[in-house]
Amino acid sequence: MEDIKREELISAYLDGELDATEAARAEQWIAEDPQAKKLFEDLKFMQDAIHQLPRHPLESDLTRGVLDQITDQSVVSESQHSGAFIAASRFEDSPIIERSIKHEAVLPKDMPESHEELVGNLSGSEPPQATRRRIYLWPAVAVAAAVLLLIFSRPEQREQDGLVVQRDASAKLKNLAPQQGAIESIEINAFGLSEESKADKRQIPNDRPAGESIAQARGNYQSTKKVAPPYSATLSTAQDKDLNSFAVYTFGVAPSLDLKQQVEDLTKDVRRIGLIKLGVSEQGESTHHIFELSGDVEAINKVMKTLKTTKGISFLSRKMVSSKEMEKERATTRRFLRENLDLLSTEGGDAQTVPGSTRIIFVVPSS
Amino acid sequence: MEHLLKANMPEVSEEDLEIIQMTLTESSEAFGELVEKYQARLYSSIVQIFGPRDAEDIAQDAFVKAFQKLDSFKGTSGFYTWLYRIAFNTAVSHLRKQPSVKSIDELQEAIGDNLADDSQRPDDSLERKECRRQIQSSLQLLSEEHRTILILREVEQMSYEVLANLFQVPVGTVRSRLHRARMCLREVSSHYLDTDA
Repeated sequence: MEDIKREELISAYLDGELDATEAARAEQWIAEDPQAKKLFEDLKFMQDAIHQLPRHPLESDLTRGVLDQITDQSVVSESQHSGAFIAASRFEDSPIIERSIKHEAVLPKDMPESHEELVGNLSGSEPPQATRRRIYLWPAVAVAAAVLLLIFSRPEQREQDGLVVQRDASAKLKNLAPQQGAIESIEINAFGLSEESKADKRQIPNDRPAGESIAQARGNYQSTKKVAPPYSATLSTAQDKDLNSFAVYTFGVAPSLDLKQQVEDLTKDVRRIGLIKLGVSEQGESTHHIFELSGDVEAINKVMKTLKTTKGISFLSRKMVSSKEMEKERATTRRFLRENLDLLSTEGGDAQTVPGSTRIIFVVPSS
Repeated sequence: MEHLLKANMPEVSEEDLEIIQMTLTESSEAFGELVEKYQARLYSSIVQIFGPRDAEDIAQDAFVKAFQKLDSFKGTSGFYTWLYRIAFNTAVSHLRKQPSVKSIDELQEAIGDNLADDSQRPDDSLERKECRRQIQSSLQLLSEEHRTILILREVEQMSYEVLANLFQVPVGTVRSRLHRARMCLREVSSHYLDTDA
């Protein structure tokens, strides 16, 4: 016991944490006792070794991701209290909302044109003080969304193009009047839905075949050459600790980069994830290629790390979206429509994101 | 915001205090400055103690939690110490859900390829360099508790008082825990220490 206390004295002496009296005692002991001297030398050597542990550089700046998450959580928190659309906060200041209330299909003049601008609106510099205004606008947004869902649920439009994935609500974009298309692009952004363009029908690994719904594609993970867990398994291998949310990563891609090849290379050696392409969306000066990655969390992390360090690809942002909240709001809207308008088809499909999966948006500037 | 007065927060730097005040009273965006300032240090420390797996996510989660609790920050310790406590709890809770066995690759990654900065010690013999490298590797054999306190003390240069504040234990406990950690490391590294050190 006494030895332990004396050894402890040497340890504290090494740290310079002794008072003058104790330090003198430690020095005397080290000078007189070879064992104490050896202990001191060993501890000193170990200390030097730990001092020289390498620093691990952080490969990406966390600032934007943290701020996005902070803002997102403020928005989710508000919408939980108000029971309204999470997406509303993104467009609370947009004229589209007020005009939709009056059922006027007028294009918004200051609608966000790029994803960055949109994200900027969402995460923005605005602290969460604007609560009062957001709550005030929730009912208006619900009505606006009701109009949108009515438009999208028209069955004749769903059947017009067999090549387009039918369960993807945005696939009907080309059949809509220009005003409706513009409105839909807002919904695409608001809900993270996707547009499946004809030009992008070519298959990529793990891409779903034409005519197959996203839900079917998920169910078919096992049959693709990359063996990924089925839908239920993805729930237990969610990337984020909150299984009810999903991460949205946004990357800028140099126009010169072969994105298709890059995506193929990215997953060709990874057997524990599934990658499906949700679609392509034109956003003003850029094109957004939207993918969903599901499966083993480590494999997903590796893919994300690879992306962050790939030449020609720059990490723009990471943010969390609560799919539970989103689904709740969708359900609220559907119920509202059923009760009030009795017109909504329950099959009005859209791209539901697997909880815990990761959505990737590649932003390619238009050449 | 009375509690944010510098006089009540002697451990918090003027700069941090200013940013915290701005975050609480003006804009949450100001918190980004604290993220920028401490992210590299926090990330590196998390990797050294817990390994590289999910270290980035843990660091990000820690910052978000720190923001959420910012109005309860009393300034009895420096902001980084407070942040580190949050990160530590986040990491422990996160890793509790993960398999505890680390792969060789992960250990290798945690230790790094260039363990010691040999250029700073041109007079060192190869054996001493190798010995130092082995001790660094041996850190991964220690318990989490021992590895944590050693790294915080040696790498983060935290004083006994700061460590006591961090772990919410008396200073005497920090002193004996550090000693036990060192003795464990000495034990697992004894082969290398006996041969050359």
